[in-house]
Amino acid sequence: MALLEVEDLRTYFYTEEGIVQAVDGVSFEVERGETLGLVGESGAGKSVAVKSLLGLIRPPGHVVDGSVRFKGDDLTEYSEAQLRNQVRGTEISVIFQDPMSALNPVFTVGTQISEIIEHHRDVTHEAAWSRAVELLDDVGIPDPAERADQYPHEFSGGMQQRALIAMALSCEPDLIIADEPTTALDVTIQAQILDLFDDIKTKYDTSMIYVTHDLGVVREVCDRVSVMYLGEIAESAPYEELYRNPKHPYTQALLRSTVSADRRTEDLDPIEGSMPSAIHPPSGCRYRTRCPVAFEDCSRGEPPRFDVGPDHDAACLHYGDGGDGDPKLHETGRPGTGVGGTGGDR
Amino acid sequence: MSSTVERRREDADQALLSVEGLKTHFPVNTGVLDSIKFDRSRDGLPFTVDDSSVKAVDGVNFDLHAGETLGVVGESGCGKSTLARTVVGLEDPTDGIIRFDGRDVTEFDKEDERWFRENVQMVFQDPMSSLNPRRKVGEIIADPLEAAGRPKEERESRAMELLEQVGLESDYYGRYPHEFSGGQRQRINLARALSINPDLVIADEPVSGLDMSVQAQILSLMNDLQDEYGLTYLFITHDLGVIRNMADRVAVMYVGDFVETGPTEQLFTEPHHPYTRSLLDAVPNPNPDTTGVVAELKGDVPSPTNPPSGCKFHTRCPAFVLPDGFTEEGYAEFAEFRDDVVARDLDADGSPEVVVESYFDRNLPGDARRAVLNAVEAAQKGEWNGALESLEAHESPCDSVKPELEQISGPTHHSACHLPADEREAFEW
Repeated sequence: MALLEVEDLRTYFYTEEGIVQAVDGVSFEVERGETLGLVGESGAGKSVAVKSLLGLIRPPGHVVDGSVRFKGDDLTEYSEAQLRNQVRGTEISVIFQDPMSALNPVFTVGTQISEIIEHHRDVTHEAAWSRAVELLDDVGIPDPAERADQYPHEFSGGMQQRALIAMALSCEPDLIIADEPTTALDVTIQAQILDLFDDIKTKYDTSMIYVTHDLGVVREVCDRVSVMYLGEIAESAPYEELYRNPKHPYTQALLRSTVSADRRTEDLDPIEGSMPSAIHPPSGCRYRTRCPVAFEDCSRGEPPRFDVGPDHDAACLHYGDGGDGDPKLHETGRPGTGVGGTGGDR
Repeated sequence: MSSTVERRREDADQALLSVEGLKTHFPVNTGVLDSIKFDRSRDGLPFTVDDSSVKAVDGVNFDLHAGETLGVVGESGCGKSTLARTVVGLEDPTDGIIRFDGRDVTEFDKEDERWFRENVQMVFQDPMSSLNPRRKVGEIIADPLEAAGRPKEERESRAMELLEQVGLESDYYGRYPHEFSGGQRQRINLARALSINPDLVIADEPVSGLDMSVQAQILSLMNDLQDEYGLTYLFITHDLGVIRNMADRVAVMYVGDFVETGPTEQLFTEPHHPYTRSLLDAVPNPNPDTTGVVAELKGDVPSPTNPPSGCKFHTRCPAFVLPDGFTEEGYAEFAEFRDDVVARDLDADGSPEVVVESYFDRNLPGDARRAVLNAVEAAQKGEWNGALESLEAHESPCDSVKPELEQISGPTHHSACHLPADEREAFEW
């Protein structure tokens, strides 16, 4: 049994303009020790999906369907109090994008970490404090004993993110959800934090769900990846498999349009148009309105996820009974696919 | 429209924009009263004047030729946005010369200034906050034309034409900014910048807030517009992927200085400056065949108010040049001692041997130890300059001498680093 099994999750927001189908039938699993990447553009539903796992969706949003089985128990049946006391922070913890708004500016960093430990564990204040200092040390904050006594504004952006990671680790959770944790940081600081994730995954033996829009970051931290588009999962595979053999037309387009520092792409090949609204999403396959290889059947009913390779599935009718099994999109010759496409291409 | 284009064609060697020794400093305290600090330890009046400043841009030189794209890249706080704002005239330079089309912008009269503003336009990072939410996008786009006093009919038709050129529709003229997505708003910003046919467009992180696929759309639009109008771009970004795909030449900026400049391909394949290398090392790359991220740099960017001595990068540099005989730890102690000599305040009293013992836990190379002993003796006599002189021979160039940009390979590749020019390995992607 996987550590986390999400099945057919649907989270809708009931707004005046209509029902926003932000997450609409999403299923994924996270094994113990595994890091799953959730990738997609803004509005794809990545953040809503992970917030739904923890019951963090507030009205007008509701989780309307699906199950979230964590170690076998369905979290969607838990009460708010149960989630707060037994799940969030202890079993599953979250690291958000903007560290400054996730830390309370009027308490010292040490207080904020030790508070969580005291809330969830039966320990003295002193023991919780010394554990907090230990955690700050673990996440690479120099002079942790002094730093614990400081306020968030005395930390730089990278240090704040480290403090948040320490906080997430404080009760040694089995699963950490990281929602764009390095997006606001400079590349050099991001590199330090990515290194740190590597260290803590080994040391604390945690699983992770890593939400990001950056495929380069996915490559660094994730074992498997699910690509989301407009509330649905378009394709899932181990990262290398996904990069080398992208099957869904959206994944292919996304990889082609990504500018990357290892080469110069003479003709940038952006995806045309923009993501439609999730209030009245296109019928059938939601990507069909922008898909260059869409055919008639694509508008009729959601495409199921077809097996397209080892541990690899894609929700595209081209791989079903009526499809040709291969939407030919590789002609533009994206470097990196196929033989000889090494990083040296320019 | 403007005669500059024709004039430039006659004189192709002249840079469109030329910046020399540009400095933009911001005082830490604004106003006279603010800068006076109470200081009890002083003799006489117990006040000191704190005139320190944030040296955001600290002596930058570059030429930008017509039709070219110069990319300026660096971490947040390195001064790249201030550089852009100073060039366009939104900040006053503290020192240095900005020449546009061969003429010093500070000597412009009213007429020239108007001409300059028509020819230099800026695109900002946040497409929402740079569009007035209460005005129709068509009018926003036509703003520069209105400032130039063009008639209403011309403005309208030009705005509609531009809307189509940037991939929107001409009947969007009457809509408001909130009706558009981030990518569409950035298109509107581009249309506004282009409405008056500028020669130079300064783009400050134009694609940073955008999704990958939208980024590619905007970048490819900017490329198309450059081809069509012969635009010159000064492109400011922190994203090395964007730089590689947009710029002809790159300048890497660190705490107010350009530390390496060169043609894009050369800089990305044979970088010289350790900072450039570390930046490239830190870029996550989707391609699994490339080397992964290496977190070479520790710590954060130092404060531009009080930048490190010598090479500003020496505090984080992985290639710091140690003087003969020193270990890394030993040199750190030496540097600490020297800093105290500079500050004219030694931490220990007693005989020179005792002072040296208190500063150094590790063995100094023999002659360095003698120099330190001499320095302590001189310092105790109050001869601080003499003390510094005796230390000079054992200092690393990195923390004592500021490196200048020097030619590395080819006439246009420069790096400000004490490492020899030929120490330049190909970069492994």
